[in-house]
Amino acid sequence: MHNFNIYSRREFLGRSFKTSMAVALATLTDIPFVMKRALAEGSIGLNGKKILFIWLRGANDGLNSVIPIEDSEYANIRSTIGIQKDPIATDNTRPDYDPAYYSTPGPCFDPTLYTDPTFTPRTSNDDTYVYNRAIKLGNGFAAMHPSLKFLAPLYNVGDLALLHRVAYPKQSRSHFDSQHYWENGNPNNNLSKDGIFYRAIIESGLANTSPLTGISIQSALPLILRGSEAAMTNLTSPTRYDLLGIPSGTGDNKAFNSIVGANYYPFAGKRNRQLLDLQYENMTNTLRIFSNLDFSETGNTFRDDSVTDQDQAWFDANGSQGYYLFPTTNAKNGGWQRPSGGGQNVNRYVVPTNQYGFFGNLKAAAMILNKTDAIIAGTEFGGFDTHQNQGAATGTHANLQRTIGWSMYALRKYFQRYADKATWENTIVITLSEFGRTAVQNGDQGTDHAEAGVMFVAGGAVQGYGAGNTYGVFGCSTSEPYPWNPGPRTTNVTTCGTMFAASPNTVAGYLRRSIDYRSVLGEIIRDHLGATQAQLNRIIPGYANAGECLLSGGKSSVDGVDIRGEIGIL
Amino acid sequence: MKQLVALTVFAALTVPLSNTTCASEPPAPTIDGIVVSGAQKNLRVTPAPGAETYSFYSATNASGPFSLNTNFVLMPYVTGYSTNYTTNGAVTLTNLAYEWRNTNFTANSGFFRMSATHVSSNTTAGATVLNRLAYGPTPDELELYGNNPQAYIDQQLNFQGIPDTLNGYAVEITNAIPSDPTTNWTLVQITGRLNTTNLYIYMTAPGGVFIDDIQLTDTNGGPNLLANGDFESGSVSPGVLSGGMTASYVTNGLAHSGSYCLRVQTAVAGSTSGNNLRIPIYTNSVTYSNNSPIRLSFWYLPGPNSQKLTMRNGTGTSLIGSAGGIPPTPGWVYAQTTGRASTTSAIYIYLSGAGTAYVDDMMLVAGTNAGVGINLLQNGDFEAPLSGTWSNATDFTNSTISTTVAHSGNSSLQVSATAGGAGANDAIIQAVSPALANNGTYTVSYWYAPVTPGVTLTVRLSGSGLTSTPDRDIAGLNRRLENRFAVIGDYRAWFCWNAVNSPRQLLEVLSQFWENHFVTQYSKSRDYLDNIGYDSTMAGILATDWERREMTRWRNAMLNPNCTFYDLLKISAESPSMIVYLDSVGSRGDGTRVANENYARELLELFCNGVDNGYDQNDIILMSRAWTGWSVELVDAENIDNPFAPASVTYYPNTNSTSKGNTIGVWTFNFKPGNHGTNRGPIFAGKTVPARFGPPWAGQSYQLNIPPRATGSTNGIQDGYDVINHLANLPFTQEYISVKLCRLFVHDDFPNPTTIADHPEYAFYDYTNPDRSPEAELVHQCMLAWENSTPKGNIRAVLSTIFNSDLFRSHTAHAQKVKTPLEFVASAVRALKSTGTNDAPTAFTDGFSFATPLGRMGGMNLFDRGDPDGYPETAPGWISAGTLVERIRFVQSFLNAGTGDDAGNHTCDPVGLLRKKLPSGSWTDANAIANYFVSLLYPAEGAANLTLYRNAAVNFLNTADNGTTASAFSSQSAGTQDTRVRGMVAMLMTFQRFQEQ
Repeated sequence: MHNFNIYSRREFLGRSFKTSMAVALATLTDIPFVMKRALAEGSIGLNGKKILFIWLRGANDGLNSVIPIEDSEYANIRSTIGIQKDPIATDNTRPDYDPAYYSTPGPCFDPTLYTDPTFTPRTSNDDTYVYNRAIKLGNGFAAMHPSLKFLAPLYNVGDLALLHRVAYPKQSRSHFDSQHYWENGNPNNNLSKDGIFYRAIIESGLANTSPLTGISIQSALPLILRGSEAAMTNLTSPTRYDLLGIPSGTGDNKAFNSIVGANYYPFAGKRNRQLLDLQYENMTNTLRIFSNLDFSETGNTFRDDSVTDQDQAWFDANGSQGYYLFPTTNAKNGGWQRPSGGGQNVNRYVVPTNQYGFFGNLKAAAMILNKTDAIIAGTEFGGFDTHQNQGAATGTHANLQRTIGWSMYALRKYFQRYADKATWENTIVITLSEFGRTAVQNGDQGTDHAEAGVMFVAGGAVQGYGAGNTYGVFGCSTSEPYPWNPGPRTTNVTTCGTMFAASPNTVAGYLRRSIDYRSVLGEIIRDHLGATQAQLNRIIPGYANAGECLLSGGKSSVDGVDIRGEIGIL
Repeated sequence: MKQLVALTVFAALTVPLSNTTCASEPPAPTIDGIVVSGAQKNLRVTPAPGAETYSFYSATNASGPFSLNTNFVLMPYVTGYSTNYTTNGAVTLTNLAYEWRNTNFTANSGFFRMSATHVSSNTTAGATVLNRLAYGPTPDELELYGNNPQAYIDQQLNFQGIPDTLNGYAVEITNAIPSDPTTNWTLVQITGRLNTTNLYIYMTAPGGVFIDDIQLTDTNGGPNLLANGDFESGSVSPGVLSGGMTASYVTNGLAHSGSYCLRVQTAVAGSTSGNNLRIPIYTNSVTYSNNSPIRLSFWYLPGPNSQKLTMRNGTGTSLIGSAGGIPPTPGWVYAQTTGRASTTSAIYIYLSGAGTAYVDDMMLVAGTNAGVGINLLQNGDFEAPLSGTWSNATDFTNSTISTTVAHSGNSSLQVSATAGGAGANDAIIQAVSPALANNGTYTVSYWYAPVTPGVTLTVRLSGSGLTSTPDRDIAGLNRRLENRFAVIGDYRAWFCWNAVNSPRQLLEVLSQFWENHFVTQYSKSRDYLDNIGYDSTMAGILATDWERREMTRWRNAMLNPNCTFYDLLKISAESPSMIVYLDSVGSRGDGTRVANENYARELLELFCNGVDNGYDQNDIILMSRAWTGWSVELVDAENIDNPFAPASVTYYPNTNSTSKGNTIGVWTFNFKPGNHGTNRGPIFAGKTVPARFGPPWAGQSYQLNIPPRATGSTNGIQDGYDVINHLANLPFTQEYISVKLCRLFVHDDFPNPTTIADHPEYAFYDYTNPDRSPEAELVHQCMLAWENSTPKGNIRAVLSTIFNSDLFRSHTAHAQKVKTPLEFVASAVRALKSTGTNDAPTAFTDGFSFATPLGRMGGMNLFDRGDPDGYPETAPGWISAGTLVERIRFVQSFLNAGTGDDAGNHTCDPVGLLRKKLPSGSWTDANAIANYFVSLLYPAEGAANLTLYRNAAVNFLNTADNGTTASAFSSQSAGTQDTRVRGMVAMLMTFQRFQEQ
């Protein structure tokens, strides 16, 4: 069932008046700025296009997500945590030995179909992550972590863009500052307290009129959806968003009505009162919408429509349906529960068991996008701050990659199979992470804070491999604009390997950026969500400054680094 | 019709009072607009903070004269309709806003003014003080200090002078059964894998112990592979004594069996390579080989050094035995509880999980006086066998009478559980005979000796009308924490209980502040210990102890009026949980190793300077080497404060000690010289304090040169102390810590300072700018207080500066902050907490009840923050629709005593409170009750501003449960009145304004 958000002009005006009282600034003749914008331009929120974002908190080690496998230094600097090449490329005693395996262009090797590069078919008997070598991406240079194997099907149909060397000028290596900048879209400005997506929704004109525009499902509303003029929604737990669950008897109706009524009591202006008023109002307005969505475990019936991971036995034993898309229990985690007396096999999990909470939140985010008029929804998971013992093909970081890979696989299937108000063609899934990690592993078999990292972008409209672009990986090749220079760390900036030259003036041991995260988000906000360029210039202030080169690329006026500008993935 | 013109006139008439300064007047009310409809004139106004009354004046000419116009009344007008969902389905609600309305102003044109009278400046400051220095006011504190904030400030700034009787407990160390050294021989028996070379016996430290009857056999107790293991030959032969162990000898007269035993004594710590007794393994006649399963047993006489004894088969770790020390004399805890009996007269004794405890001298008497009267229990002193009086059910069938432990007499009840009990059918049970009077009042009392960590005792009568849980009250929690017996839930309960109940409120607020500033993560510590080899329960207990120990040190430091920031920083740096949390624990700088940067970075960014405030990446890299070698180690308890102590090799007796999980010692800060790197250049090289700081700081060099120290030397520890000693009083640190304290006590809008000149915060904190904001000026004053205090960095000097500032005492601070989840739940309980009739509290929490709601209100899991920036102090991190739902659910559960776990184990009695505070004539007066609770929950908001809340409260009391039918409160039954008062208070506490502090 669709849940159409109700917004009436009358309610909107009444609320805007109250807001003006609360801030003690506006006069009656002021038209709230949100209304001015609403009358102006763009089609954000009106064209059915949606964004689902996943925050990878703690800084994902991008060099082990999308691996520069043909950069000979990679194996040297990651002696114990590096992902190894497939023996087909290294073992010259094999009859099928092919040293050019990774450097030969072609499609991505798909470990959901085969167990090795000679195309031995997967079967129901294989462990989920039995393939443990770097997955060839087919651009002649890059490879993928084996735990990201569920991205392979997306890559090969052109629905995935893997963006490497993503950062921003004068990179902060503080988690908190850098997360702040990724979210407010204003690098090195901590006073800017509005989020990028918040500003996009303000530009839509729907803020404060539609009860549900931007939403997160996590412990607290993230900055990216936060701002002072309108309330976005956060669900702490999707199954507890229910004031009707107040365990009391007879006083309920009176209390509830009073809470609603209290939205309209005038009080003297104080700091935070506007925030509180907006969020109270948002709470009462969204209660009804969510009461019609089933976020419960019994409602988690979403399944793959094909033989997942070539697990024919599971498919046959489960009513000709594939794995559950949102693993929230052991029984719903891949093929753990084997059919017809096959017992239970932990090697058939698709995600680690400690991610069930995340998948519950991800499911809620997907359902909200699909069943309501919400434009942007997102959630997060942490644990990426892998300073020690991060592991290689298995281990801590590998488990995090499994969660990323399966999330995107599952979301594609969900929006394809269960499309209601959101189709896969109209939905873009992106990941955010505050920075990459040091190229050289540290003494604790981990990596420390560094600069450029990786962004994952998926969606039916994404133009990846064979779909508008030759490859689905960007920024990790020796033969593209601003190429990746393989090679060791030197003291000469011009000859130093890309992995060690963070800026034009220093050899710092950090991966140098070639893509600004704002260009990626900008392209999506304009070409997908439907912002005009003028709106985008307000949503991401750097776009208005030609010297920052966010649109067309060039030498950034901020720090002199050459960047690509927008990539052209849409 | 001619348009009316509105004039706004500011007329703030504050009542002058002594004692308190309130320099800045609150913003005055303003008329924002006029809506005219014939003779009806509607003024839409912006309220003034703290307004007690509003007055309106009108004139027909702009030049006046203006005369008081009393015809304006506050009236609602409709702004729209919204549909909302209630238990009865969708209902359409009318959305109203309010305006001041005059219905008979007939003149063609009019000019209006308004003015307000305000609550006194003392009232404003009083509300702020009780909301910031405390976890919100209690009704009693509001009466005492609501108009006298200075008294509360003075009292709390000297909190060491406030008696704290809450956490006290008494333990009686006694064992009624005298111990006899000649009969006290203790058996050690372990299994492992055979090594066919030798058995080595040595002491890990100088000392001595008696041992006898050493047997090395197969696991069924076959032939002894040691010759003369009973020493009955009168010598150690064929064993050989070496080195310091040659002082040992075989003696007669104190044997466990036969005539002889071995008296081990040595002045030198031994090992398998020397200073030991080496006994060859005799395998000729049996078919044992390496790695056969094997059992080692021996007897020893417990003594002060006996836990240093080690027996080791071969040089590997396949079989290691150790002895224990003198068994501790049981610490007996006295417990008593009064309650009511039910129809089933049974008493239950049970534990919360598998483990052991002792109980003795239990009495159940009628009435409320423990131990006075006839003991209604049979065999309550446990001097007779259990059979016939007590029965052991389900998980307690191993329970027995102990004849080695007793509080009095010769025996006690040894409670042995294989799993947690539940009462009926799963406990130690006595059917009390003759039967107790149903609903009669009884008191149980007993002595209790806990044994198993993390396991708690319950004694209760059937029906739970009388329940005694001596481990879960505040004294019991404190006792178990100090004994390192507590899990994280116990510690959270202790902390939350104190937040609500401690009279040292500022200490509690600051405890949370510093804990959150120097944040560490319980679960990271637990996982670290879990990986070492502890089971998850023990790892949790040890990790809890780390959190408690750093907190205990901070609290003790703060009790000293001269406490400095350096004192607190040092405690944090030395805390094992910090060393693990930010990865110093395994960081190495020796040789070419790259030190882990994590702690150095956060030390600068989060704990001292503030982000980008006086340092750069290079400083982090250089500083990271100073922290290499700062690690943790298990040491003997007496070495807890010695960072150079050797690893403990003291194990629980009777265990195969190859596992860390069998160790007895204490995990603490330990310096590992071998990991320490000394090669570094000057930190902050060539840097000087930027111009914005002004005198006395601007231009000063703050380069830090750490002198060269010998590689591998314990002197390397000093590198770390050099760093924190230098950082602790840098102007950047003074500034950043002052900013954080101002955010805690004043309001949210103190941005982070920076030394990056093109960031806007640089100009905000330019102390050379004569027009700087009041916020920047307060930070500056805090820094000067810090700089000029003796000793430098005195925290109370900084706090005093804040508490005495105009900014803090004026409306600029009052109600400008939103409560964090902890502040919200603690203030909710405190708001109604007084003492009602029969000394019963009018609001109560057991402390445990906060954990679940705190998690739901935004993931505020105390002591377990994942990110090193700590939990947010400012509102946006906590306030969203989802978290507000949880806050509302908590309050509704708390007040309505409903089912479910939204509020956990709380009770409250608002009617009991109003009966204590109001004269009896007001007990059924809806207006008086509404007035009381509105003034209690919103102090200093101003009566005029609270008119609508007060009206809503009165309406609630006078309305039936359907929400519409009028139903006079005064004519309701006592039960209905109680329900309505609960609902009304819950409603007031769910409003936005109660989120503020």
